[in-house]
Amino acid sequence: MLGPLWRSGLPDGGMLAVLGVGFLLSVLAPFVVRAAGPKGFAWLAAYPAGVFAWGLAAPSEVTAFPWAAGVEVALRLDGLSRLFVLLVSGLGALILVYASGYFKPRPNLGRFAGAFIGFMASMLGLVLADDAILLFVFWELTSVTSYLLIGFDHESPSARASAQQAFLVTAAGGLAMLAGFVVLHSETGTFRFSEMGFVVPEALMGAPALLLIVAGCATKSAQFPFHFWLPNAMAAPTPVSAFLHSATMVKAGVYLLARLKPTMESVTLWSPLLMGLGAATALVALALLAYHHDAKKLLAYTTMGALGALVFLLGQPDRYALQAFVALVTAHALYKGALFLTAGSLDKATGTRDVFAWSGLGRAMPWTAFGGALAAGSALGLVGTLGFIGKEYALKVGGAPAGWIVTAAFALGAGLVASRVGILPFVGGRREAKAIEVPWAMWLGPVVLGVAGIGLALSVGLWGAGLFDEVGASLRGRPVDWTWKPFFGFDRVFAASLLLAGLGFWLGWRIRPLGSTPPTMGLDRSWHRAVAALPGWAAKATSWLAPVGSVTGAAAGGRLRDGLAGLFSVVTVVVATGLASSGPIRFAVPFVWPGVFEAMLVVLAGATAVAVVFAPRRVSAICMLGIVGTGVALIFLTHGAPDLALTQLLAELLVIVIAVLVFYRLPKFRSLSSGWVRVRDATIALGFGTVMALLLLAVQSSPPQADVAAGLAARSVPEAYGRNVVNTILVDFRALDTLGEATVLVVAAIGVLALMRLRMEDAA
Amino acid sequence: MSVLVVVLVGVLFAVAAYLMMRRSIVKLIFGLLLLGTSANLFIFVAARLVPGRPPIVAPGQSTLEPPFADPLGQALILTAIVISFGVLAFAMVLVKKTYQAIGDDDLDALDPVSREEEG
Repeated sequence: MLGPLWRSGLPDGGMLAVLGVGFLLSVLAPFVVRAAGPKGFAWLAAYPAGVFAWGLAAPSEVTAFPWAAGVEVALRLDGLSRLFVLLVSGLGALILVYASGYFKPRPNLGRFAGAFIGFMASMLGLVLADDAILLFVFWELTSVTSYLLIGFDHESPSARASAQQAFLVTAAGGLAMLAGFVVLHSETGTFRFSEMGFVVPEALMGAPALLLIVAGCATKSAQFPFHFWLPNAMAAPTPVSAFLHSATMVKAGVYLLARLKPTMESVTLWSPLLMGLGAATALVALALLAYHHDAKKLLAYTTMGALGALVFLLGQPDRYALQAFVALVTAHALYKGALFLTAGSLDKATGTRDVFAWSGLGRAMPWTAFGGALAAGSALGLVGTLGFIGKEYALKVGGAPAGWIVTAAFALGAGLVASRVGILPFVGGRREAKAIEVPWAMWLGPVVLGVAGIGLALSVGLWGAGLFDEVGASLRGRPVDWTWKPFFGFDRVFAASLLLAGLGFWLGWRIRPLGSTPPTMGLDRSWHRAVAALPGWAAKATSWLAPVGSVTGAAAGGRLRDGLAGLFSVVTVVVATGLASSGPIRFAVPFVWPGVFEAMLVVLAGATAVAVVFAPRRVSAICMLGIVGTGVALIFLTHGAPDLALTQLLAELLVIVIAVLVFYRLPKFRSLSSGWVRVRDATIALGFGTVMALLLLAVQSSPPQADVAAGLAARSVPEAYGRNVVNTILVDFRALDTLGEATVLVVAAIGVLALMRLRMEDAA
Repeated sequence: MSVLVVVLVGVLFAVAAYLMMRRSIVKLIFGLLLLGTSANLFIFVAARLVPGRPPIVAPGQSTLEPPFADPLGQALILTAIVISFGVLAFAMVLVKKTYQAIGDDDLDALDPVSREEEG
């Protein structure tokens, strides 16, 4: 068991505080940025900086609080989550500082800041969650905030489409993952990662659970064939691309696979699935690289390649594979974040993201060049960088040549793009005369990250046994004692590593993109075609109602009322047949003469309802409807349903107020239908009403089923502490239904608001 | 009493169905409103009419003394009232916007088939 790995018993709410402060800040951040302008981003960086310090100092622990419906707010800080907390918060702080220099004052920046901090808190929650359901909640929160951030430039149709695509792909994967958690629960009996133990290889549900969870991880971490959203997500502002789509969110899938490795690697499918997926992703990424010259797209494809390599490494039981994984996760976050920021700075300075347009900028932008070159060194895997250590271990993994091929594919792609973004723009002849160095806020990030990539590598012997071995313990499920050193001697692996770096640089230097229109492998195009076809499918599905309508003799053409006429007719016939076939109906309802008041109520409501049909004006019709509704409310009131009466009255009142406001300007009722259509409709309506009344009589004549109601009534006071049984059902026994109801109301309210604010163009 | 209410349910259903089959969008909405009311009343009557005995536990008691009105049906209807209110509010605003866009409350004016026939 994993129990003794952390020192428990410390009364520490640190993790809860980290998340609580984060989400609170995401609400406050818009005001900060609105008040202080883009400078506000630098202020906000205090939060991730504080989290970073906490992540260095906090003891490993697990805390759990019961939440709702058997789900716990269980948080866990161990080696794996600590590494990710440090990466997320460290990069987050630097990128927020970068954003303070990157953004010009512009509208909606406050909203951006809120979504950005919200994403950060969700991502921290994701890596700290020890409960699978809680992880899912944070997982989807990162999808939602990512959607808002990619679509930040919401007036651009392509940004909106990209945001929608990224959201739909990752959210669909998230749902598959949730199903996978439920299946996994059936094998392990718990949602807590720290208590899952491991799935026995012969477990029946092991493979389905794995497939579902991997589907979630593959969409989030842009694995082939779900990779197509990642390059499109580059529509986001550069700080978002650097933070979400290189260093943090796309690593969530990799993180979850690493988290589940001790539990699920015993499933026979684990190794072949992950190695196949990772290898395919790394190779496809390298192939697609060759078609682009946009810096951010190029970086996106190398991110995809790195994610593939990481998944590939996780699929192997080898110790070196795990060491390579730990080193590469860290190295990649540092250098890719730095390269993205460098690309953003170059874009700002020159106005283009075409890597081949950048040349000779080293003198003008010395600090950016310094940071970019250091990061590129790590990406190339030069001696003395974290990237070198990762590549070294990846090449040390014994066995199949597949590992060499995947490592080579990943390393070549990384080296090629790193040279193009981090080194080559700063050498050679100068083309852009006006470019000047970006403000310090924008070169600070690349420089710090670049220096960190080298400093951490050279000192890895000092701290590797602390942090990295703790991560290894999370991956292994038991303590490990790995050796970490920056250099491994001159051997075959070193020669191969050097060769890859040289080749990568040479490719970046010499190779031009193969074409301007890359083969998207059809996936992106298929996606857009499917989305575009949706309204057509919906229309077709609706038009299937038309034949039903035409049975009634009306002209076909998919009109709503023909469909309704068909629907009412079918219901009438089906119910009548059912009633007739269940034998003669015994109307065993004892007839009691109603009181005068009750009789008046019913007659009034009925007569008014009929009168609505003949109302000449809308206002009179609305008044009549009000009378009907009030009559029904009074029936509720006199028959033991005061709650219903109240709600009915309130809803009726609101409907009437809205109806008067909305329909006031509409024209008088006209006689639109011809006489015989009205006769036909009246016949259908009368038949429908008669059959419904007969059905109700038949229901009343059968013996009552009172046991459910009696059971609820008996449990109301002792279990739900409520005397109003209707109330306890709504807010206690069936509280989730009520939550659904509230959701419907909120959605309707949002819809109403959106419609009200919509300025209609004259369609005619 | 209950037979009378059953007749009322039938009348309400019939009027709702008739209104929904009209060409006027406004009448369609009115029909929708009545259909919701009829369905609620249907469930209410199906759960038996128990006059004057609301399902509220008296102080000092721990459970209800039969006969009492069925709380389950009431809970269902309560939810239904609220949801149909939400749907109606949305539908009414939608109708207003539709009217602003096409300048007609005739459903057939929305129909691409009859629009082509007209012009």
